Amino acid sequence: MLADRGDLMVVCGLGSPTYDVAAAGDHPLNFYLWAAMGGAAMIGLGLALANRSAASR
Amino acid sequence: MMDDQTNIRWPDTIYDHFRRVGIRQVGYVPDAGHSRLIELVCKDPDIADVVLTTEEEGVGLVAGAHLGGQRAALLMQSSGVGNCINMFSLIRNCGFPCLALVTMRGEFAEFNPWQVPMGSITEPVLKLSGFLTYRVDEPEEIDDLVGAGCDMAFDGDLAVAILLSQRLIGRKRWTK
Repeated sequence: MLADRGDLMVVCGLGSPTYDVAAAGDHPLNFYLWAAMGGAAMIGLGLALANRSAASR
Repeated sequence: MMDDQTNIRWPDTIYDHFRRVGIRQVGYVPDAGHSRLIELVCKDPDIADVVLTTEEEGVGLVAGAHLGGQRAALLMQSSGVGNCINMFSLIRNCGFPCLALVTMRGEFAEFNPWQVPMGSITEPVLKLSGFLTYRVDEPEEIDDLVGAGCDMAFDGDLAVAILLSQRLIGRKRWTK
């Protein structure tokens, strides 16, 4: 997914997902959580609702 | 269930401020105190209404909305503030704006003692979590305080909670 990400926005949960996504290469469209456990999916929803035209592409 | 909420206007005033500052997403759980405002938000095609499983999900929602360039508001009851404490770390660490409207329970004419423990510490918990708090006791105060709260949250990137007192909301009566 990240190798050919295009304009994919990525929100990752604290711990290993954050370490793995960062290790795959930092990117301005990455948002890393390092706490606020359980927040990633809803941050993604808020972000997707705000970018519906981008999300539907 | 019946309550004293017939003919009240303050939820419409809150909604008018949502429109004024361009709120585009509203997270909520079902709540009698917020029912009129929820109804107005759900009817508005410009506002995404997001029903939450638990209030803490709404904290993530407003953070995501901000990252995506939109303004969001969170509606909850005083008990829901307790469910959000850890997730408020996100708002504080990232300096995101957050506007929460909190209907109070566990105070004026409360019939349910289980609402009292959280209701009695809601405001200090919000302050400890980094929120500015404003309490509305009278309907005449709504316009000024909600307007000021919206402006502080979104012009200043601040976390602001408006506490809507149980006396303002009115006595809840349960019928068979």
